[in-house]
Amino acid sequence: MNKKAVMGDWASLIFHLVWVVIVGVAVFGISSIFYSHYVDVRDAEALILSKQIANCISKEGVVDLEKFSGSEREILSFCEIGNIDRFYVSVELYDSNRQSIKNFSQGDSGTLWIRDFYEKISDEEDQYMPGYFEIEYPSFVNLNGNLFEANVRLEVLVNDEF
Amino acid sequence: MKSKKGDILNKVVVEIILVGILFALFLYINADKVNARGVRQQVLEKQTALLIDSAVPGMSFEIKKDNLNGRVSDIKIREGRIFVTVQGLASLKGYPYFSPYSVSVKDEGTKFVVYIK
Repeated sequence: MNKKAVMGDWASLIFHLVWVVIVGVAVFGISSIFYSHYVDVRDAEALILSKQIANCISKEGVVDLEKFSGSEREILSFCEIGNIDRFYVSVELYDSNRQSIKNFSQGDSGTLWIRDFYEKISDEEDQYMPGYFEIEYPSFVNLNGNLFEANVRLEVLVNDEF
Repeated sequence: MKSKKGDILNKVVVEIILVGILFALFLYINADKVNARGVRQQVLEKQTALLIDSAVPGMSFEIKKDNLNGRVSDIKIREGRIFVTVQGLASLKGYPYFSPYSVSVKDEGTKFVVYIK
């Protein structure tokens, strides 16, 4: 057997192996996508975060607005919440006439516009949105020493963690 | 002629062995997905992160090493993330928690204890 023929045999072997690798990567790669599973805990996180924010802003049922001066757009940092990149929080205070008193927020509202869009085009109420939690509760507000009743509307959005 | 037959046989045997090794390697890489170690790790990390997030200072909770989700060999807290090693599968990314309190983990023989201060 000449040297060229032997080289040709081994070249075809390597060619076969390259094909096997390509087919293997394709088959196992695609199957691994279907085997992967994402456990979604965003709803639970949104609920826990809203509780933490509510405890932070209205300790003992009173929102002291003087404490938040300068932190209107940094409410998460004010409450010392960690890993805030995924979160959006909005706190709105209303008086008994539904007039807005103050608004605090922080984070990227991101996908909230999708919810707003669907609300506009859909007849269904209460569209489910993973990681979104909204609550309204009564509280007292301390503004320049005046204590009065108000409503706190708290909105929390937790985005994906990848 | 005989030598040519022998060469072809050798080539086929080598090819079968190499293809076998390659598929064993692919199966080994995918085994983590098939036996769901990654999902179990994800469940444990997320459950622990949620417990940390909902805890208040002074609280602590235990995670048994012989866990329902597999053998937990290590739990680490680093840069606001929790890393759980389940059945030898080390966590690369971990899962972030947002608790404003200080969190630490202590290995106590048959269990890990997570403290929130």
